[in-house]
Amino acid sequence: MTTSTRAQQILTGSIGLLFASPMLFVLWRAITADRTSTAQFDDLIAPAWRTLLLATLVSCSAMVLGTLLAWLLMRTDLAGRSWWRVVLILPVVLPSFVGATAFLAGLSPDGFLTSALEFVGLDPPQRFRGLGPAWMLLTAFSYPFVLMPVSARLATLRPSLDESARLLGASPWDSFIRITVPHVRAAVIGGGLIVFLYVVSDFGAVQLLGYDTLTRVIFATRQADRATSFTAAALVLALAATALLLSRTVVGDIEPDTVQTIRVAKRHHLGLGQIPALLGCGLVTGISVVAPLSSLLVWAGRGLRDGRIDIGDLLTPTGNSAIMGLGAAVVTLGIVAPVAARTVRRGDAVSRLAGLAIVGGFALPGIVIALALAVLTLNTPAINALYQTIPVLALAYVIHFGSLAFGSSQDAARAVSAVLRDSARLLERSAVRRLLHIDLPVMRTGLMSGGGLVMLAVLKELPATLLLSPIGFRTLATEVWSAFEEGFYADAAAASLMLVTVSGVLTWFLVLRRVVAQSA
Amino acid sequence: MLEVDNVDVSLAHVTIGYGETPDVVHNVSLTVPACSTTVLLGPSGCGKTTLLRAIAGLERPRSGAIWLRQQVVSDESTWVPPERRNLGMVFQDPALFPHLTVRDNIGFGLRSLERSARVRRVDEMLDLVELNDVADRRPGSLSGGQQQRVALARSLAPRPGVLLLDEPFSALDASLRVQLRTEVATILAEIGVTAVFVTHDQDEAFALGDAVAVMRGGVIEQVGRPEDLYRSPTNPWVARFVGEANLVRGVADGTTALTSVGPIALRSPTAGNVDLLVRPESLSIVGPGTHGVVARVEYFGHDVRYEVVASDGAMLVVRHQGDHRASVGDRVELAYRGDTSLAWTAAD
Repeated sequence: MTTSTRAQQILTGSIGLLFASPMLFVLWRAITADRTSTAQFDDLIAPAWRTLLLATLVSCSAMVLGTLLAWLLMRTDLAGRSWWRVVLILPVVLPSFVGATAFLAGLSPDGFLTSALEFVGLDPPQRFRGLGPAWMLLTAFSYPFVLMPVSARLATLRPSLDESARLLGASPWDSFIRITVPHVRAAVIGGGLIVFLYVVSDFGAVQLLGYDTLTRVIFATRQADRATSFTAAALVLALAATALLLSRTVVGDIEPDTVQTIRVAKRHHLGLGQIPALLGCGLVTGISVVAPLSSLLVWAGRGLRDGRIDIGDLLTPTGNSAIMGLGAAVVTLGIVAPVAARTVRRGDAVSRLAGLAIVGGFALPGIVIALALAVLTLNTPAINALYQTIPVLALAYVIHFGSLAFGSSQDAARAVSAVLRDSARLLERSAVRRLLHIDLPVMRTGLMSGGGLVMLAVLKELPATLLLSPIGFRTLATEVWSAFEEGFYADAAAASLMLVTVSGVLTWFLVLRRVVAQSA
Repeated sequence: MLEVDNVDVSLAHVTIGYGETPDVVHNVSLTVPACSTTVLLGPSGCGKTTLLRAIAGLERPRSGAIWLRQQVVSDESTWVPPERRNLGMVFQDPALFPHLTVRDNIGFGLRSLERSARVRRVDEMLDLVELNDVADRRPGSLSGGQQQRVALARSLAPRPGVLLLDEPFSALDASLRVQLRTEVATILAEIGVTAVFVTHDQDEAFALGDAVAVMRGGVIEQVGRPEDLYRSPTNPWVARFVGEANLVRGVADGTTALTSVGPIALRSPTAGNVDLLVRPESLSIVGPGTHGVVARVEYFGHDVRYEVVASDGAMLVVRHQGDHRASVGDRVELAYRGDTSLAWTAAD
């Protein structure tokens, strides 16, 4: 083994260790925590139960809703389906805390949703808090995580499979159960798992809606009672790990069907079923997009009219958000892409372990990563000056969202085939020039989309930003949060709209543009 | 219409189309005798696959009727869904269920059998296609040829009345295609199933078909045994589609036509300007002369193919067994060595 390959191995291993460090630290603290009183553990049973209940309810309802909508979009002649295909994934633009802010502000006595409900003769809810509202809102904002993979899966289901089953004597229902369901099952469960992790790690919505989950406990006890904080964090990790393992067992080892479809499947004729289908899509869009956006627009409009909002105030937080997003994207790619390329090209044990640590970062809630990094920096004398500084905040983003860049980077690395690299070798001796003129240009699309996903995620991130930002450092997310806490609904709405606009533009480039092109 | 005992599939005036676009299949009638293979042969887009899918019940004709073993399965008032037609079908892509093993794929259509009978039947099928050693693997790990054999075994397992094959070899590479074609022909003959086979490949059609129906633009141009199609095509298009053909211009005087390669005897009496069907193997180069100039030579081993520009400017293809007789640029004498020839009144 040459020195340079050993150095590469050590570097790869260190990157893996970096990504694993928050998790290892949390586990270590939870194990070594002072157990003088059992009271702290008993206090956590109820929040843990509530977290599990909410995550299970939301992932089940999101799986049902997302699958049903995917089927309507991909397999029926639903009226205006190319339009619905875009509209129905718009909720991914809304971070849960912005959605909750919009609903709470809209349902306040002088909010738009209150007047809208009164207008159609309905009583607005007296108290929009607790399990029910949290279940509804988190489902409304997370079902696209099921809808998108299931739609993609349905698009690859070859019509000849269903036709073969029919010719072998299966009725349409038989064929649906024996062929279609196994085909999309992995996508449904995979989407459900993402929703489960999303709910377990959600902090903004449950905090605003007053539903006491583990992330709320972590936030409340992070300074005064670290033992409880870390035990709660370990419980969150345990929940995430259990869900991950459970979904693996249920999915089994189904190989994805990679054969290209030759013909386009015939669509089911909905007939009179159009009416309930359209009403259903309308209701989902109403709750997940129209209601929150109109509530925000009305509040922001009021603030602008009576001069309480100065758009100029938003410039600094918008700039900070953009810079943090862009910076985190670049740094993440710089760290993650080499590991991703190594897993694709060599697939050695070190790079696979490092890859696992990077991907695992996705299952770690932001608040857990932030807690671990905050306490690590504070308790380590050599680096405690770094507490609440930009580098540590950026590191939290890198660890939290490295997985988003990892997959795209792997795809990008696969795009540079072995044959291409061999022929480049014969034509160009300098490794640096090969990297600059061959590898990077070919990998560009994949890397850009990975970076874009990181940037989008950073824009929408709340808990880590709250815990780790330097004092006085304002981003759009923290702006929404603090304005709402102080009751400045109009300011919260304006910052929210800015956040939604920026992430909407990014989402357009990353996701929607492709969807529109496909349905055209 | 046809109530003949030994006919397994019959179509009467079947028209298939969608909306305002022209019919994909127009007024097609066809009968497929029991225990024989009928091939639908035609260029892509001629409607052959659509016709096959209508027999399967995957497309519903706009008009016309389809019988399977004397039972109406499709007409104005009757529609039998695919799962109740007792048909087997092999698709262009193998269409194996990716989540099931080879064994479970083959057993998919045998749900009505008892467990032990099902296992026995699956084993029989595995023997038939010689895939016992991969029985417990998933389709994803098999080669293209193996996948198509599993697809064949799966469609034959429920003992279908009729087997439909939609270009099953087109995704395979050339040598494998020929090998699998022979295997399939042997299997079909062994079990004596009635088959309808769709292809755009004339070699495949001739190798497999007891009868071949040549389709073009949604209609059947001609149906017949391969040798009839080759020797007696009904029009120049069919003549060219089922093999290489020279159409040689000549002047007929009843029983003979005078052409640039000499006089040719006519199969039926004609007079005036005609186009004669001259297959390349009916021409030979007999030595130096004035009939034409060799423009191209392709050596195949078992024969040699020459392109000769005739004195009237027409391009003639000549095929010889054996070794080179001329090189590019040679002026040569041609001779017609064939039987009496078909002639069509000249187009212009």
